Amino acid sequence: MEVRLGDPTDPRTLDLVKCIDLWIRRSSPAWLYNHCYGFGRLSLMFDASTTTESRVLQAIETALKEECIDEKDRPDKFVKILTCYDPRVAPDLNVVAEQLKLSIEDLIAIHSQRDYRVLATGFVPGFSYLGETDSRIQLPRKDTPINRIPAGSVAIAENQTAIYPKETPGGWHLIGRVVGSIVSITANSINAKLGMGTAVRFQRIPYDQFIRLEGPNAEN
Amino acid sequence: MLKIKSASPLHSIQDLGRFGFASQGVAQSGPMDMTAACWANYCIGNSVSRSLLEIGGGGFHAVFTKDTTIGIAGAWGDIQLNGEKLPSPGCFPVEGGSTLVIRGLASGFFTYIAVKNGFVVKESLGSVSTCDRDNLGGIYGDGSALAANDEVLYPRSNGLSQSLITRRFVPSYLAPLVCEVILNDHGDFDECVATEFLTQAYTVSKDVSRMGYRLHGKTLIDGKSPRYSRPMPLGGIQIPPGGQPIVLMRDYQSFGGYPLIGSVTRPSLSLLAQRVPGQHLSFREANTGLAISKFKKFSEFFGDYR
Repeated sequence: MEVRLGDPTDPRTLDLVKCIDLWIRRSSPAWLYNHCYGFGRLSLMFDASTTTESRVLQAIETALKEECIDEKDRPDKFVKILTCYDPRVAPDLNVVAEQLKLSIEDLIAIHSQRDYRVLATGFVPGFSYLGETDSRIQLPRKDTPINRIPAGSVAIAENQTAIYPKETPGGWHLIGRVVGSIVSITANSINAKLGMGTAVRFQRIPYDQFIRLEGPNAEN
Repeated sequence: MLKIKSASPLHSIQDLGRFGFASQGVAQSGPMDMTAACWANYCIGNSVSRSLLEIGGGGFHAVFTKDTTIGIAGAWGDIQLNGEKLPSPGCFPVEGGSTLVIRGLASGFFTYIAVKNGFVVKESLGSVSTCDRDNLGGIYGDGSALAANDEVLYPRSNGLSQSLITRRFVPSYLAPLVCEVILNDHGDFDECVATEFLTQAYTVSKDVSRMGYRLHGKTLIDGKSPRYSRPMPLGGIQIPPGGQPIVLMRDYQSFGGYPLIGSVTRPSLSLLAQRVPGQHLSFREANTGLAISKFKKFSEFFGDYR
Protein backbone atom coordinates (compact mmCIF):
# COMPACT_ATOMS: atom_id res chain seq x y z
CA MET A 1 0.00 0.00 0.00
CA GLU A 2 1.05 3.57 -0.53
CA VAL A 3 0.56 6.61 1.71
CA ARG A 4 0.93 10.13 0.37
CA LEU A 5 2.77 12.39 2.78
CA GLY A 6 2.80 15.67 0.87
CA ASP A 7 4.75 17.76 -1.62
CA PRO A 8 8.06 16.03 -2.43
CA THR A 9 10.20 19.17 -2.05
CA ASP A 10 8.50 20.57 1.05
CA PRO A 11 10.79 20.30 4.13
CA ARG A 12 7.75 19.32 6.22
CA THR A 13 7.34 16.23 4.05
CA LEU A 14 10.93 15.26 4.78
CA ASP A 15 10.23 15.68 8.50
CA LEU A 16 7.32 13.26 8.23
CA VAL A 17 9.52 10.73 6.47
CA LYS A 18 12.20 11.02 9.14
CA CYS A 19 9.54 10.52 11.83
CA ILE A 20 8.21 7.40 10.19
CA ASP A 21 11.72 6.06 9.69
CA LEU A 22 12.48 6.58 13.37
CA TRP A 23 9.23 4.95 14.41
CA ILE A 24 9.88 1.91 12.23
CA ARG A 25 13.41 1.53 13.60
CA ARG A 26 12.20 1.89 17.19
CA SER A 27 9.16 -0.37 17.08
CA SER A 28 9.91 -2.67 14.11
CA PRO A 29 6.29 -3.82 13.73
CA ALA A 30 5.97 -7.57 13.05
CA TRP A 31 3.43 -7.04 10.25
CA LEU A 32 5.80 -4.85 8.27
CA TYR A 33 7.92 -6.76 5.75
CA ASN A 34 9.48 -3.88 3.88
CA HIS A 35 9.08 -0.18 3.35
CA CYS A 36 10.31 2.46 1.02
CA TYR A 37 9.80 6.22 0.87
CA GLY A 38 10.62 9.28 -1.07
CA PHE A 39 9.12 12.16 -3.04
CA GLY A 40 6.28 12.47 -0.59
CA ARG A 41 5.23 8.84 -0.79
CA LEU A 42 5.58 6.03 1.68
CA SER A 43 5.22 2.51 0.40
CA LEU A 44 4.56 -0.32 2.85
CA MET A 45 4.67 -4.03 2.18
CA PHE A 46 2.73 -5.57 5.02
CA ASP A 47 1.53 -9.04 5.92
CA ALA A 48 -2.04 -9.07 4.62
CA SER A 49 -2.72 -12.27 6.57
CA THR A 50 -2.33 -10.55 9.95
CA THR A 51 -3.42 -6.95 9.42
CA THR A 52 -5.39 -4.70 7.10
CA GLU A 53 -4.73 -1.52 5.18
CA SER A 54 -6.88 0.57 7.48
CA ARG A 55 -5.15 -0.71 10.62
CA VAL A 56 -1.75 0.05 9.07
CA LEU A 57 -2.88 3.58 8.23
CA GLN A 58 -4.10 4.05 11.80
CA ALA A 59 -0.73 2.92 13.20
CA ILE A 60 1.09 5.41 10.97
CA GLU A 61 -1.19 8.26 11.99
CA THR A 62 -0.72 7.48 15.67
CA ALA A 63 3.05 7.31 15.22
CA LEU A 64 3.12 10.68 13.47
CA LYS A 65 1.14 12.28 16.29
CA GLU A 66 2.90 10.79 19.27
CA GLU A 67 6.43 9.75 18.54
CA CYS A 68 8.08 12.20 16.31
CA ILE A 69 8.16 15.60 17.89
CA ASP A 70 11.86 15.56 18.79
CA GLU A 71 13.04 14.36 15.38
CA LYS A 72 11.85 17.51 13.63
CA ASP A 73 14.34 19.77 15.35
CA ARG A 74 17.43 17.74 14.58
CA PRO A 75 19.51 19.60 11.99
CA ASP A 76 20.27 17.84 8.73
CA LYS A 77 23.74 16.75 7.71
CA PHE A 78 25.62 18.85 5.14
CA VAL A 79 27.96 17.01 2.77
CA LYS A 80 30.37 18.40 0.20
CA ILE A 81 31.22 16.02 -2.61
CA LEU A 82 34.31 16.44 -4.78
CA THR A 83 33.18 16.16 -8.38
CA CYS A 84 35.01 16.12 -11.67
CA TYR A 85 33.05 17.46 -14.65
CA ASP A 86 35.10 16.33 -17.62
CA PRO A 87 34.00 14.51 -20.79
CA ARG A 88 36.63 11.84 -20.12
CA VAL A 89 34.65 10.68 -17.07
CA ALA A 90 31.26 12.17 -17.97
CA PRO A 91 30.20 10.75 -21.35
CA ASP A 92 26.98 12.77 -21.72
CA LEU A 93 28.38 16.19 -20.80
CA ASN A 94 28.75 17.46 -24.37
CA VAL A 95 25.43 16.08 -25.63
CA VAL A 96 23.50 17.40 -22.64
CA ALA A 97 25.00 20.89 -22.97
CA GLU A 98 24.04 20.89 -26.64
CA GLN A 99 20.53 19.64 -25.91
CA LEU A 100 20.02 22.30 -23.23
CA LYS A 101 21.55 25.01 -25.46
CA LEU A 102 24.12 25.84 -22.77
CA SER A 103 27.89 25.99 -22.85
CA ILE A 104 29.58 23.19 -20.92
CA GLU A 105 30.88 25.80 -18.48
CA ASP A 106 27.39 27.14 -17.82
CA LEU A 107 25.97 23.65 -17.37
CA ILE A 108 28.67 22.84 -14.80
CA ALA A 109 28.25 26.16 -13.02
CA ILE A 110 24.47 25.80 -12.78
CA HIS A 111 24.75 22.23 -11.50
CA SER A 112 27.47 22.89 -8.91
CA GLN A 113 26.30 26.24 -7.53
CA ARG A 114 23.16 24.99 -5.87
CA ASP A 115 22.69 23.06 -2.61
CA TYR A 116 20.46 20.03 -2.99
CA ARG A 117 18.57 17.91 -0.48
CA VAL A 118 18.02 14.17 -0.54
CA LEU A 119 14.36 13.81 -1.48
CA ALA A 120 14.34 10.03 -1.71
CA THR A 121 16.60 7.03 -1.27
CA GLY A 122 16.23 3.73 -3.07
CA PHE A 123 16.75 2.12 -6.48
CA VAL A 124 20.06 0.51 -5.38
CA PRO A 125 21.93 0.74 -2.04
CA GLY A 126 23.33 4.22 -1.52
CA PHE A 127 21.37 5.83 -4.36
CA SER A 128 19.68 9.06 -3.41
CA TYR A 129 17.56 11.41 -5.41
CA LEU A 130 18.64 15.04 -4.96
CA GLY A 131 16.50 18.01 -5.80
CA GLU A 132 15.58 20.29 -7.17
CA THR A 133 17.83 21.16 -10.06
CA ASP A 134 17.70 24.56 -11.76
CA SER A 135 15.03 24.62 -14.47
CA ARG A 136 17.71 25.45 -17.09
CA ILE A 137 19.30 22.00 -16.68
CA GLN A 138 16.14 19.89 -16.58
CA LEU A 139 15.61 17.31 -19.31
CA PRO A 140 13.75 13.97 -19.60
CA ARG A 141 15.38 10.60 -18.93
CA LYS A 142 16.87 8.73 -21.85
CA ASP A 143 14.28 6.69 -23.76
CA THR A 144 16.42 3.58 -23.52
CA PRO A 145 18.47 3.00 -20.38
CA ILE A 146 22.12 2.07 -20.88
CA ASN A 147 23.49 -1.12 -19.33
CA ARG A 148 26.67 -0.02 -17.59
CA ILE A 149 26.91 3.25 -15.76
CA PRO A 150 30.27 3.62 -13.97
CA ALA A 151 30.16 3.82 -10.18
CA GLY A 152 30.38 7.40 -8.90
CA SER A 153 28.72 8.94 -11.95
CA VAL A 154 26.83 12.18 -11.33
CA ALA A 155 23.65 12.24 -13.35
CA ILE A 156 20.68 14.48 -14.08
CA ALA A 157 17.12 13.80 -15.22
CA GLU A 158 13.88 15.79 -14.88
CA ASN A 159 14.26 18.10 -11.86
CA GLN A 160 16.66 15.82 -10.05
CA THR A 161 20.31 14.89 -9.81
CA ALA A 162 21.95 11.79 -8.36
CA ILE A 163 25.15 9.83 -7.88
CA TYR A 164 25.32 6.19 -9.01
CA PRO A 165 26.86 4.35 -6.04
CA LYS A 166 27.93 1.33 -8.08
CA GLU A 167 27.92 0.13 -11.66
CA THR A 168 24.27 -0.40 -12.68
CA PRO A 169 22.04 0.09 -15.68
CA GLY A 170 20.36 3.48 -15.76
CA GLY A 171 18.57 6.07 -17.86
CA TRP A 172 19.94 9.36 -16.53
CA HIS A 173 22.41 11.69 -18.24
CA LEU A 174 25.99 11.46 -16.96
CA ILE A 175 27.63 14.85 -16.42
CA GLY A 176 30.30 14.21 -13.77
CA ARG A 177 32.09 11.77 -11.52
CA VAL A 178 32.64 11.94 -7.77
CA VAL A 179 35.74 11.07 -5.80
CA GLY A 180 35.47 8.05 -3.51
CA SER A 181 32.63 5.74 -2.67
CA ILE A 182 29.29 6.94 -1.29
CA VAL A 183 28.17 3.68 0.27
CA SER A 184 29.65 0.77 2.24
CA ILE A 185 27.83 -2.45 3.02
CA THR A 186 28.73 -4.95 5.73
CA ALA A 187 27.01 -8.20 6.73
CA ASN A 188 24.80 -6.31 9.17
CA SER A 189 24.38 -2.78 7.92
CA ILE A 190 24.50 -0.27 5.11
CA ASN A 191 26.31 3.01 5.57
CA ALA A 192 25.28 5.53 2.99
CA LYS A 193 26.92 8.95 2.91
CA LEU A 194 23.62 10.56 1.96
CA GLY A 195 20.41 9.91 3.89
CA MET A 196 16.91 11.39 3.68
CA GLY A 197 17.13 15.17 4.07
CA THR A 198 20.93 15.42 3.83
CA ALA A 199 22.05 18.65 2.18
CA VAL A 200 24.56 18.16 -0.62
CA ARG A 201 26.89 20.42 -2.59
CA PHE A 202 28.95 19.27 -5.55
CA GLN A 203 32.40 20.83 -5.32
CA ARG A 204 34.09 21.04 -8.70
CA ILE A 205 37.63 19.69 -9.07
CA PRO A 206 39.82 19.59 -12.19
CA TYR A 207 40.49 16.37 -14.08
CA ASP A 208 44.13 15.98 -13.02
CA GLN A 209 43.17 16.28 -9.35
CA PHE A 210 40.46 13.67 -9.88
CA ILE A 211 42.97 11.25 -11.41
CA ARG A 212 45.41 11.95 -8.57
CA LEU A 213 42.74 11.08 -6.00
CA GLU A 214 41.15 8.17 -7.83
CA GLY A 215 44.13 6.55 -9.56
CA PRO A 216 44.94 6.16 -13.25
CA ASN A 217 42.22 3.57 -13.92
CA ALA A 218 39.42 5.88 -12.81
CA GLU A 219 38.27 6.59 -16.36
CA ASN A 220 36.94 3.06 -16.62
CA MET B 1 27.82 -30.99 2.34
CA LEU B 2 26.55 -30.62 -1.18
CA LYS B 3 29.39 -30.64 -3.71
CA ILE B 4 28.50 -28.77 -6.86
CA LYS B 5 29.83 -30.45 -9.99
CA SER B 6 28.26 -28.14 -12.54
CA ALA B 7 26.06 -25.06 -12.26
CA SER B 8 25.05 -21.92 -14.16
CA PRO B 9 24.72 -18.21 -13.22
CA LEU B 10 21.00 -18.76 -12.59
CA HIS B 11 21.65 -21.31 -9.83
CA SER B 12 21.60 -19.67 -6.44
CA ILE B 13 20.83 -19.90 -2.73
CA GLN B 14 17.57 -18.23 -1.71
CA ASP B 15 15.36 -17.87 1.34
CA LEU B 16 12.15 -15.85 1.64
CA GLY B 17 14.10 -12.69 0.90
CA ARG B 18 15.89 -9.70 2.37
CA PHE B 19 13.37 -7.56 4.19
CA GLY B 20 13.55 -4.18 5.89
CA PHE B 21 16.16 -2.55 3.65
CA ALA B 22 14.09 -1.41 0.67
CA SER B 23 14.21 2.17 1.94
CA GLN B 24 17.99 1.97 1.53
CA GLY B 25 17.69 0.60 -1.98
CA VAL B 26 18.40 -3.05 -1.22
CA ALA B 27 16.56 -5.51 -3.44
CA GLN B 28 14.24 -7.90 -1.66
CA SER B 29 15.30 -10.98 -3.66
CA GLY B 30 13.95 -14.40 -2.64
CA PRO B 31 12.66 -17.19 -4.85
CA MET B 32 11.29 -16.22 -8.26
CA ASP B 33 8.53 -18.81 -7.77
CA MET B 34 7.63 -18.31 -4.11
CA THR B 35 4.90 -20.96 -4.28
CA ALA B 36 7.16 -23.75 -5.56
CA ALA B 37 9.93 -22.75 -3.13
CA CYS B 38 7.46 -22.98 -0.22
CA TRP B 39 6.34 -26.42 -1.43
CA ALA B 40 9.94 -27.69 -1.59
CA ASN B 41 10.47 -26.84 2.09
CA TYR B 42 6.93 -27.70 3.21
CA CYS B 43 6.93 -31.21 1.75
CA ILE B 44 9.90 -32.26 3.89
CA GLY B 45 8.49 -30.68 7.04
CA ASN B 46 10.78 -27.62 6.99
CA SER B 47 9.76 -24.11 7.89
CA VAL B 48 9.36 -22.27 4.57
CA SER B 49 11.94 -19.75 5.77
CA ARG B 50 14.75 -22.31 5.37
CA SER B 51 17.38 -21.63 2.72
CA LEU B 52 17.16 -23.66 -0.46
CA LEU B 53 18.58 -23.85 -3.96
CA GLU B 54 16.97 -22.13 -6.92
CA ILE B 55 18.05 -23.86 -10.13
CA GLY B 56 17.14 -21.85 -13.22
CA GLY B 57 17.13 -23.59 -16.59
CA GLY B 58 18.49 -27.00 -15.49
CA GLY B 59 22.10 -27.97 -16.21
CA PHE B 60 22.78 -28.79 -12.58
CA HIS B 61 24.86 -31.63 -11.16
CA ALA B 62 25.75 -32.12 -7.48
CA VAL B 63 26.70 -34.79 -4.95
CA PHE B 64 25.27 -35.08 -1.43
CA THR B 65 27.94 -36.25 1.04
CA LYS B 66 25.59 -36.86 4.01
CA ASP B 67 22.24 -38.55 4.51
CA THR B 68 19.25 -36.20 4.31
CA THR B 69 15.80 -35.77 2.79
CA ILE B 70 15.30 -33.41 -0.12
CA GLY B 71 12.18 -31.59 -1.27
CA ILE B 72 12.04 -30.74 -4.95
CA ALA B 73 9.38 -28.60 -6.60
CA GLY B 74 8.87 -26.17 -9.46
CA ALA B 75 10.12 -26.62 -13.02
CA TRP B 76 10.18 -30.27 -14.03
CA GLY B 77 11.79 -32.49 -16.65
CA ASP B 78 14.69 -34.90 -16.66
CA ILE B 79 15.64 -34.84 -12.95
CA GLN B 80 17.66 -37.83 -11.78
CA LEU B 81 18.69 -39.06 -8.35
CA ASN B 82 21.48 -41.64 -8.67
CA GLY B 83 20.58 -42.14 -12.30
CA GLU B 84 16.89 -42.74 -11.64
CA LYS B 85 14.38 -40.30 -13.00
CA LEU B 86 12.21 -38.72 -10.29
CA PRO B 87 8.49 -38.96 -11.16
CA SER B 88 7.20 -35.56 -9.97
CA PRO B 89 7.71 -32.90 -7.26
CA GLY B 90 7.90 -34.21 -3.70
CA CYS B 91 10.03 -35.51 -0.87
CA PHE B 92 12.88 -37.99 -1.49
CA PRO B 93 15.34 -39.67 0.91
CA VAL B 94 18.98 -39.21 -0.05
CA GLU B 95 21.96 -41.24 1.16
CA GLY B 96 25.48 -39.87 1.49
CA GLY B 97 27.22 -40.15 -1.90
CA SER B 98 24.03 -39.64 -3.93
CA THR B 99 24.12 -37.68 -7.16
CA LEU B 100 21.41 -35.29 -8.27
CA VAL B 101 21.27 -34.17 -11.88
CA ILE B 102 18.83 -31.75 -13.50
CA ARG B 103 19.16 -31.97 -17.26
CA GLY B 104 16.53 -30.59 -19.61
CA LEU B 105 13.22 -29.16 -18.40
CA ALA B 106 9.85 -29.92 -19.97
CA SER B 107 7.78 -27.45 -17.96
CA GLY B 108 8.84 -24.23 -16.24
CA PHE B 109 12.24 -22.67 -15.58
CA PHE B 110 13.03 -22.61 -11.84
CA THR B 111 13.43 -25.83 -9.84
CA TYR B 112 13.74 -25.62 -6.04
CA ILE B 113 15.76 -28.05 -3.93
CA ALA B 114 15.41 -27.98 -0.15
CA VAL B 115 17.23 -30.22 2.36
CA LYS B 116 15.93 -31.22 5.79
CA ASN B 117 16.58 -28.27 8.16
CA GLY B 118 18.04 -26.14 5.37
CA PHE B 119 21.52 -25.33 4.09
CA VAL B 120 23.96 -23.65 6.47
CA VAL B 121 24.82 -20.29 4.93
CA LYS B 122 25.84 -17.03 6.62
CA GLU B 123 23.29 -14.23 6.34
CA SER B 124 24.04 -10.84 4.87
CA LEU B 125 21.58 -8.12 5.91
CA GLY B 126 19.34 -10.71 7.54
CA SER B 127 19.04 -13.10 4.60
CA VAL B 128 21.05 -15.61 2.58
CA SER B 129 19.21 -14.78 -0.65
CA THR B 130 21.67 -14.30 -3.49
CA CYS B 131 21.44 -10.93 -5.17
CA ASP B 132 23.90 -10.37 -7.98
CA ARG B 133 22.85 -6.73 -8.38
CA ASP B 134 23.57 -5.81 -4.76
CA ASN B 135 26.49 -8.24 -4.28
CA LEU B 136 24.75 -9.75 -1.27
CA GLY B 137 23.97 -13.29 -0.10
CA GLY B 138 24.97 -16.72 -1.38
CA ILE B 139 27.63 -18.94 0.16
CA TYR B 140 30.32 -16.27 -0.08
CA GLY B 141 28.04 -13.41 0.99
CA ASP B 142 28.93 -11.44 -2.15
CA GLY B 143 25.99 -12.29 -4.39
CA SER B 144 27.82 -14.80 -6.54
CA ALA B 145 25.83 -17.66 -8.04
CA LEU B 146 26.61 -21.32 -7.39
CA ALA B 147 29.56 -22.63 -9.41
CA ALA B 148 31.38 -25.89 -9.96
CA ASN B 149 33.49 -26.93 -6.94
CA ASP B 150 31.36 -24.91 -4.49
CA GLU B 151 30.46 -26.75 -1.30
CA VAL B 152 27.24 -25.97 0.51
CA LEU B 153 26.93 -27.24 4.08
CA TYR B 154 23.85 -28.93 5.49
CA PRO B 155 23.21 -30.99 8.66
CA ARG B 156 22.94 -34.78 8.51
CA SER B 157 19.43 -36.08 8.92
CA ASN B 158 17.74 -39.48 8.65
CA GLY B 159 15.93 -39.95 5.36
CA LEU B 160 12.13 -39.64 5.39
CA SER B 161 10.23 -41.95 3.07
CA GLN B 162 9.41 -40.83 -0.42
CA SER B 163 6.12 -39.00 -0.98
CA LEU B 164 4.88 -36.93 -3.89
CA ILE B 165 3.07 -33.61 -3.73
CA THR B 166 -0.63 -34.08 -4.49
CA ARG B 167 -1.20 -33.65 -8.21
CA ARG B 168 -3.66 -30.77 -7.95
CA PHE B 169 -1.01 -28.64 -6.23
CA VAL B 170 1.48 -29.16 -9.05
CA PRO B 171 0.72 -26.62 -11.78
CA SER B 172 1.60 -27.14 -15.42
CA TYR B 173 3.71 -24.22 -16.54
CA LEU B 174 2.86 -25.02 -20.16
CA ALA B 175 -0.81 -24.09 -19.76
CA PRO B 176 -1.87 -20.62 -21.02
CA LEU B 177 -1.46 -18.17 -18.15
CA VAL B 178 -3.95 -15.57 -17.04
CA CYS B 179 -2.20 -13.29 -14.56
CA GLU B 180 -4.37 -11.64 -11.95
CA VAL B 181 -3.58 -7.97 -11.65
CA ILE B 182 -4.63 -5.25 -9.24
CA LEU B 183 -4.91 -2.10 -11.33
CA ASN B 184 -3.10 1.04 -10.24
CA ASP B 185 -5.33 3.96 -9.28
CA HIS B 186 -2.77 6.75 -9.65
CA GLY B 187 -4.13 7.89 -12.98
CA ASP B 188 -1.08 7.02 -15.08
CA PHE B 189 -3.35 5.55 -17.75
CA ASP B 190 -6.66 6.33 -19.40
CA GLU B 191 -9.39 3.79 -18.80
CA CYS B 192 -9.39 2.67 -22.45
CA VAL B 193 -5.66 1.99 -22.24
CA ALA B 194 -6.24 -0.23 -19.22
CA THR B 195 -8.91 -2.09 -21.20
CA GLU B 196 -6.49 -2.50 -24.10
CA PHE B 197 -3.95 -3.92 -21.67
CA LEU B 198 -6.46 -6.37 -20.17
CA THR B 199 -7.79 -7.62 -23.50
CA GLN B 200 -4.64 -8.23 -25.50
CA ALA B 201 -2.37 -11.29 -25.55
CA TYR B 202 1.24 -10.96 -24.47
CA THR B 203 4.32 -13.04 -25.12
CA VAL B 204 7.26 -13.39 -22.74
CA SER B 205 10.20 -11.73 -24.53
CA LYS B 206 13.84 -12.85 -24.44
CA ASP B 207 14.56 -9.99 -22.07
CA VAL B 208 13.90 -11.73 -18.75
CA SER B 209 15.95 -11.62 -15.56
CA ARG B 210 15.53 -11.86 -11.81
CA MET B 211 14.84 -8.09 -11.88
CA GLY B 212 12.02 -8.11 -14.40
CA TYR B 213 10.26 -9.86 -17.27
CA ARG B 214 9.73 -7.78 -20.36
CA LEU B 215 6.61 -8.76 -22.28
CA HIS B 216 5.68 -8.22 -25.88
CA GLY B 217 2.20 -7.23 -27.10
CA LYS B 218 0.84 -6.24 -30.53
CA THR B 219 -0.60 -2.92 -29.44
CA LEU B 220 1.73 -0.46 -27.75
CA ILE B 221 0.27 1.28 -24.75
CA ASP B 222 1.18 4.65 -23.47
CA GLY B 223 0.92 6.21 -20.05
CA LYS B 224 1.85 9.43 -18.30
CA SER B 225 5.25 9.35 -16.61
CA PRO B 226 5.07 10.77 -13.09
CA ARG B 227 7.18 13.88 -12.40
CA TYR B 228 8.96 12.04 -9.59
CA SER B 229 10.17 8.48 -9.37
CA ARG B 230 8.23 6.60 -6.74
CA PRO B 231 8.30 3.42 -4.71
CA MET B 232 7.61 0.36 -6.85
CA PRO B 233 5.76 -2.74 -5.67
CA LEU B 234 6.85 -6.33 -6.24
CA GLY B 235 4.95 -7.57 -9.29
CA GLY B 236 4.43 -3.99 -10.50
CA ILE B 237 3.84 -3.64 -14.24
CA GLN B 238 5.79 -0.69 -15.65
CA ILE B 239 5.21 0.64 -19.14
CA PRO B 240 8.30 2.50 -20.40
CA PRO B 241 8.07 4.78 -23.47
CA GLY B 242 8.52 1.81 -25.84
CA GLY B 243 4.95 0.73 -24.94
CA GLN B 244 5.82 -2.83 -23.88
CA PRO B 245 5.29 -3.86 -20.25
CA ILE B 246 7.94 -4.96 -17.75
CA VAL B 247 6.79 -7.00 -14.75
CA LEU B 248 9.00 -6.42 -11.70
CA MET B 249 10.35 -9.69 -10.31
CA ARG B 250 12.12 -10.50 -7.00
CA ASP B 251 15.34 -8.51 -7.59
CA TYR B 252 13.29 -5.46 -8.65
CA GLN B 253 14.41 -1.91 -7.98
CA SER B 254 12.56 -0.23 -5.12
CA PHE B 255 12.11 3.00 -7.11
CA GLY B 256 11.01 3.64 -10.63
CA GLY B 257 10.00 6.51 -12.87
CA TYR B 258 7.93 4.83 -15.58
CA PRO B 259 4.12 4.70 -15.56
CA LEU B 260 2.71 1.83 -13.50
CA ILE B 261 -0.45 0.15 -14.80
CA GLY B 262 -0.94 -2.31 -11.93
CA SER B 263 0.54 -5.15 -9.91
CA VAL B 264 0.45 -8.89 -10.47
CA THR B 265 -0.84 -10.79 -7.42
CA ARG B 266 1.66 -13.01 -5.59
CA PRO B 267 0.33 -16.43 -6.72
CA SER B 268 0.19 -15.22 -10.35
CA LEU B 269 3.71 -13.79 -10.08
CA SER B 270 5.01 -17.25 -9.13
CA LEU B 271 3.32 -18.76 -12.19
CA LEU B 272 4.67 -16.00 -14.43
CA ALA B 273 8.23 -16.59 -13.15
CA GLN B 274 8.04 -20.13 -14.58
CA ARG B 275 7.18 -18.97 -18.10
CA VAL B 276 9.97 -18.93 -20.67
CA PRO B 277 10.49 -16.63 -23.68
CA GLY B 278 7.85 -17.23 -26.34
CA GLN B 279 5.10 -18.41 -23.98
CA HIS B 280 1.78 -16.56 -24.01
CA LEU B 281 -0.11 -14.86 -21.23
CA SER B 282 -2.84 -12.34 -20.61
CA PHE B 283 -4.05 -10.29 -17.68
CA ARG B 284 -7.31 -10.24 -15.75
CA GLU B 285 -8.37 -7.64 -13.21
CA ALA B 286 -8.39 -9.17 -9.74
CA ASN B 287 -10.98 -8.48 -7.11
CA THR B 288 -8.81 -6.99 -4.34
CA GLY B 289 -10.80 -8.63 -1.53
CA LEU B 290 -10.57 -12.07 -3.15
CA ALA B 291 -6.89 -11.56 -3.90
CA ILE B 292 -6.23 -10.79 -0.22
CA SER B 293 -8.16 -13.84 0.98
CA LYS B 294 -6.27 -16.02 -1.49
CA PHE B 295 -3.00 -14.61 -0.18
CA LYS B 296 -4.17 -15.36 3.38
CA LYS B 297 -4.86 -18.97 2.43
CA PHE B 298 -1.31 -19.39 1.07
CA SER B 299 0.13 -17.68 4.11
CA GLU B 300 -1.83 -19.82 6.58
CA PHE B 301 -1.11 -23.06 4.71
CA PHE B 302 2.66 -22.55 4.46
CA GLY B 303 3.05 -20.62 7.73
CA ASP B 304 4.52 -17.71 5.75
CA TYR B 305 4.26 -16.51 2.17
CA ARG B 306 5.56 -13.29 0.76
